[in-house]
Amino acid sequence: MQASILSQILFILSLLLLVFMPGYFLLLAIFGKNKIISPLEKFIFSFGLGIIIVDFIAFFYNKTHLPITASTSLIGVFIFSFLCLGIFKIKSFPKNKVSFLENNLFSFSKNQIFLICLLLLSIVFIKTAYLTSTVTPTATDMGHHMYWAKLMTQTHQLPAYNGMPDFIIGEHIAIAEIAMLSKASFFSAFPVVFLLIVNLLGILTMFVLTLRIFKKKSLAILTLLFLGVLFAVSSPQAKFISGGVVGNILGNFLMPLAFYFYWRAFEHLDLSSTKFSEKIKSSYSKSFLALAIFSTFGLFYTHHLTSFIFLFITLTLIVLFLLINFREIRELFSKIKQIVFTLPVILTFLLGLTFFFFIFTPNYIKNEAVKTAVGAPSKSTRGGLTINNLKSSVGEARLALGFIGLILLLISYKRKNIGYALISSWTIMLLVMSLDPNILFINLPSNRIGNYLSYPLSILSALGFYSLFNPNFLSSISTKNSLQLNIPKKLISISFLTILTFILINGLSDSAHAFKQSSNFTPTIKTFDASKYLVDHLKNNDIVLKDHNYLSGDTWIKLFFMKGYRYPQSRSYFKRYHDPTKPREMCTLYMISNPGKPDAQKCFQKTKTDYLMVNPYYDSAQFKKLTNFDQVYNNGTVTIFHKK
Amino acid sequence: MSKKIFFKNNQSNFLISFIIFLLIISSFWLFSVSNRALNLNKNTNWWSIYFTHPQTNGLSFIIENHSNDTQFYWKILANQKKIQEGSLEIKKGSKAKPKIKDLVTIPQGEKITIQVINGNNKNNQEEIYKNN
Repeated sequence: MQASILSQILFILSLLLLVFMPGYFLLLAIFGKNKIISPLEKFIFSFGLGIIIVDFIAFFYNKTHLPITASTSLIGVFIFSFLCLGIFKIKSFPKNKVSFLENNLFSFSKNQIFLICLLLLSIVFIKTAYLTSTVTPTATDMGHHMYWAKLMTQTHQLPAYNGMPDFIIGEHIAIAEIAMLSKASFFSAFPVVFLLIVNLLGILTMFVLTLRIFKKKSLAILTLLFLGVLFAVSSPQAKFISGGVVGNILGNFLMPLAFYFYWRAFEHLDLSSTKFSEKIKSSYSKSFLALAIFSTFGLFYTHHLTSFIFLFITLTLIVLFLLINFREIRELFSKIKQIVFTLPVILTFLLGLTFFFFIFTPNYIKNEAVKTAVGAPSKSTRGGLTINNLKSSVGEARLALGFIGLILLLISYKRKNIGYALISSWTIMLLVMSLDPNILFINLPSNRIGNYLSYPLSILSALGFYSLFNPNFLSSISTKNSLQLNIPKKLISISFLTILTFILINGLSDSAHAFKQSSNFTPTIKTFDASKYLVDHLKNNDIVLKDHNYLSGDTWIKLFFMKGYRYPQSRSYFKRYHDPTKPREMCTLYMISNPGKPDAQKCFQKTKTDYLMVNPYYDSAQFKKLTNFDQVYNNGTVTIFHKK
Repeated sequence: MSKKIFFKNNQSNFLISFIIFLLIISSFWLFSVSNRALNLNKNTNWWSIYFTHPQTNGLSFIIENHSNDTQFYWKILANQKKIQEGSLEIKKGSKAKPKIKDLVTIPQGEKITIQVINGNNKNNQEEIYKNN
């Protein structure tokens, strides 16, 4: 018990030292004690920036051939933090006049604080309760990712991923370093807890982004409800955490974080030229832009799909904003120039480029994964979603209210407000990418893109819901007086209750299903026990083949051996062996399914496989009748055969 | 307006503390569930048998018990014919190596099967075997 508590304390301390501390000191060096960002924002962003800083330090070590160990990682973040502290001590910070509205943006009423706490409690409770039934290491993706992180802890170098473009370095560095420092086992809850924290911080980033753009607390609180509490289990929320979809979870934190910084950099573009020039002197626009660029590089080092989507959204945002403000384009460019062509921005950009192309280039760039993501859809799952698919992907209530929100946003559009352009572009681009990817020549799984929609749609759902029952709000944020609506109060109250009930029933139903799940961890434990037996008895030249169809937690077996990503070999899902487009490797299928047949014998000779790990209920009869196989281990769910 | 503002200066700190508190509780919850789940002897009811030397002809084997039933009955069959049997008690979380008389390796051309039954339920039976 004491050891367990100690290991958890070590995990939390490692998280704070490695991930929170460098981010916090970076913000201190940039903003000092300025109130331009609130303490809550500092807390959230410190983690995001910390994850990126830790990555960059590891890239530097890798280039200079320094080992990445617990102590060097710690030294790295300490040196970085001290440098930032030094800058903070010697730098003079411009006194920024924070407006009354901005100053009170994070001052909540008693009821609002109560509501925020209630929502946060619900978010954490629902997700944690769901994760308790999935916390044992069984998820396939999590097993793959944790192999690379564990490899880092053993080799003290960045993994090369055998040239596989689907693994990206930023997914593993922070996890590996926390494991090294805290000595936490990869088979414990620590990967899940880390992803849960990142997921929650992503949701909180959306909360502060909404608050900053719309300057409306109720709207931000509703975003917390629509993104965090409703559909809290379905993808890309708790299911992605338990499934170990590491890149997506990190991407859904880093992308809104980058958007937040871009928004803060360009939020004053709606001011007149004179006011803008004055404001820009005392504001931190260039610092925010530098942070935005830094976060963008961090995102590019972490997840290719999110980065790809980010590029499309950003491009749409730029085009949309410039088109809508075409008449004042010169004035706009002159304002943008004052922010972009500044020392911190250019330095950050050059530093990012240097790292990206000369210090450490992500695998997916080297392997031209971008080319495979562009073109006509190669599979039916990439041809676009139907509205029904989208409904099940983001939730009926969120989709319906999101559409209402989008329409209302367009009606009340503030053309010079880049935040409005951001929310519109974010939603519209994701809708196009997921509904009709042919238009953009995108060859990516449509469902995966559709999952991203829940983020901007949550803001729009909040806007839709809030505006429907507070019609004065639209006129308050719009310059158009025509939006004044006179709706009887009784009608508003009845509609409010009806729609709220629909939203809650619809949004909480997936969580309710999740609670009914019973968990049986025994099959996984049996797989691990069999793996330990093999580890104890294997000789250097022994080759193992295991089954992926009927063994629980089998992708985690490689973490016992640590003899390579593809060790042990694996019999994949049966459907994968029937591919009309290209010939597939068949040995892994033959050697388990028909070990006595000539094809299998050839495979045994070729691969030198001499141990097979299978579920005896499905795969023991075919071995029993052969005289050159011994059944050497059996626990009822997993059995091991040895080929003589 | 000012009355509605709830300890304004410390609100962010309060929220941050609340978030940290929630995450710590959640972390402890998940860690404890995971520790319990991965504990081989807590709420488990299974057992395993295995040869101590899988790559040789040796027949010594081990029974490892993670079930509540501590009684084990074992028999050795040579080409389906019983040649030895025995029983032993193994506590939950322990393992034992049954003593085999005379026969330590497999005679040429025979298949030796070791069958183990846990408790009184004959269906709770597993086997391992070696060929020569």
